[in-house]
Amino acid sequence: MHVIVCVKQVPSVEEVKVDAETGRILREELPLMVNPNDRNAIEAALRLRDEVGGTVTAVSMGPPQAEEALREAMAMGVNRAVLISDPALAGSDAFVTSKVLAKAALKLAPFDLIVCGSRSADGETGIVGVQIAEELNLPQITWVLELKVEGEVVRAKRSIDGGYEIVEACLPAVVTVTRDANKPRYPTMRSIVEACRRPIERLSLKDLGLSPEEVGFKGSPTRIERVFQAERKRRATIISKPVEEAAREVALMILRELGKV
Amino acid sequence: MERACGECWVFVEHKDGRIKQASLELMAKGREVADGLSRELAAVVLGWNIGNVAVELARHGADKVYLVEHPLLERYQVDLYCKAVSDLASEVKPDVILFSSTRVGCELAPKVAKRLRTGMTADCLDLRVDASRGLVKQVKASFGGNVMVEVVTPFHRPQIATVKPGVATPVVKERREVVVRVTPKLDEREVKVRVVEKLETQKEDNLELAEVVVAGGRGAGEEGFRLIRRLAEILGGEIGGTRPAADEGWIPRERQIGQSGRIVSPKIYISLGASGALQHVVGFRRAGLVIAVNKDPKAPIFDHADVGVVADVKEFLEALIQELEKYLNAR
Repeated sequence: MHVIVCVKQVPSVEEVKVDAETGRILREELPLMVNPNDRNAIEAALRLRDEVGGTVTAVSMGPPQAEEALREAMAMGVNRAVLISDPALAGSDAFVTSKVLAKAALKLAPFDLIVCGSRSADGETGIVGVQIAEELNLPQITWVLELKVEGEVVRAKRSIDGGYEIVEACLPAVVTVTRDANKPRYPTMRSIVEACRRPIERLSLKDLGLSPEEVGFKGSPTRIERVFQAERKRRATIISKPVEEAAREVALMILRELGKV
Repeated sequence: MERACGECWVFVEHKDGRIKQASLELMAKGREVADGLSRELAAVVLGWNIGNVAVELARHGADKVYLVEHPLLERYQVDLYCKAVSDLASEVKPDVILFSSTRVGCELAPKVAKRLRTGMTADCLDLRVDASRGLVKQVKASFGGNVMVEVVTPFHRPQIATVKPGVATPVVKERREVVVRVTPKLDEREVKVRVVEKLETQKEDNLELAEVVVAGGRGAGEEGFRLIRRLAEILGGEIGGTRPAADEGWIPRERQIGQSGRIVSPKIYISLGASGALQHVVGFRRAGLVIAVNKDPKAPIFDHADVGVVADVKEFLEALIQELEKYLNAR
């Protein structure tokens, strides 16, 4: 079985810094990491491979340094890593990203399954996985918690509004896994060292049969018009009293607000 | 650019003959957008034998209701729902289509957007209108809620967005009801994903409607959450938590509050042991009184609360519960 897993390198959102004057995110100052949810995707792909055999290919679209994310995927255990990098791709939105990743999947065909994280930590769109499925006209299973492949069929437990459902689809298919799907493994020191020595394959726009006009800023239907800092409407009055007194005060405040005193 | 008819559409979800709260809120948002752009607001509702739902929609501000009925639409199925909505949109060419950021909306909207070859913005916290350019400015949090971005779709139609439940208040606005009956062309063979079993485990909770939400973060600890549940019970409120709390399994994922969770607007929001990551803060911005407890006086949560207490969560909760019980038992 050939599983393709999509990996995105994102800035560590815990440490986002914003230029106070321009409101621009200082991306270059941010530590980069593998999108946390994509680790769940990698883990899901590796477990499937370990169960039924085959290979896992990690694919990333991004600037040259996205290579680091792929190295990490390799250290976790993926067999192959492919980086799609081209200056023309800068500014691509989810619509374009899904098109590029779908083309890459076709280039890497045959494949049985494409696994993505349900959403990215930076853009928080959750669009790409679904749109890859639509682009390739494949079954899509979103919000996956458990995944099994039996013969030509993928079976999944997925989260829906108000509960869960078990669904089945024929391979090939696209699935997006949630953060609760599994606990991603940590790479070992040895696997990290080994991953550094292995080659990362590269695909250019030309390899994918795409023109610069179709991608990046030009090809993207959406535009970010403005970035701004969310306003802070409150600043707390701190009650500095011993716990019992503070609790009494807060209790009164709550009861008053609820109209009970 | 594709010529659009100018309608603003709201995709309406319903269950057992009732319109979902998220859709009623979205109707209010849709009304605002339609009015801002001087357009008609149309509700699009899919299902089988759902005429009563259409009547209800006129009461919530729809100028027009597309009643898309087919036996195969009785149950939600992404492939068929996508086809029905996309086909209708290709024919009518609406200017805007809004979906709720529910599980259904989150997988249906991107699929519809891709099929219509247009862009979309996910999980909007607000929609504003630029009437002069005919654009919907889609406001969402990005980078873990650290910044807000405004996204537009200038040259493609329709403009598509999913809007988070909890960011608007439903309004009753009587309109003249125009129901347009639509019979989509559907074939069961187009279903690519088969549902084998449905497990409805969670009752629909009332987080978005709750008067009181008691929420915990990593600092609350498992023991703290036992007390959080007790406090919520005493106050007749609902419990919630941050992403780390959900990751730890202290609350169900469905009760995560924040950009990648739920947006709540209770009268009182009590945050216990949460650091104040913006990803979480975005979730309770519309709350009335915000009370925060954290043992670190420098925790950013105090910049987003009205009242702050620097204390150990467990100790404080025990004292608070005792105080409230004392009062409530005395009555």
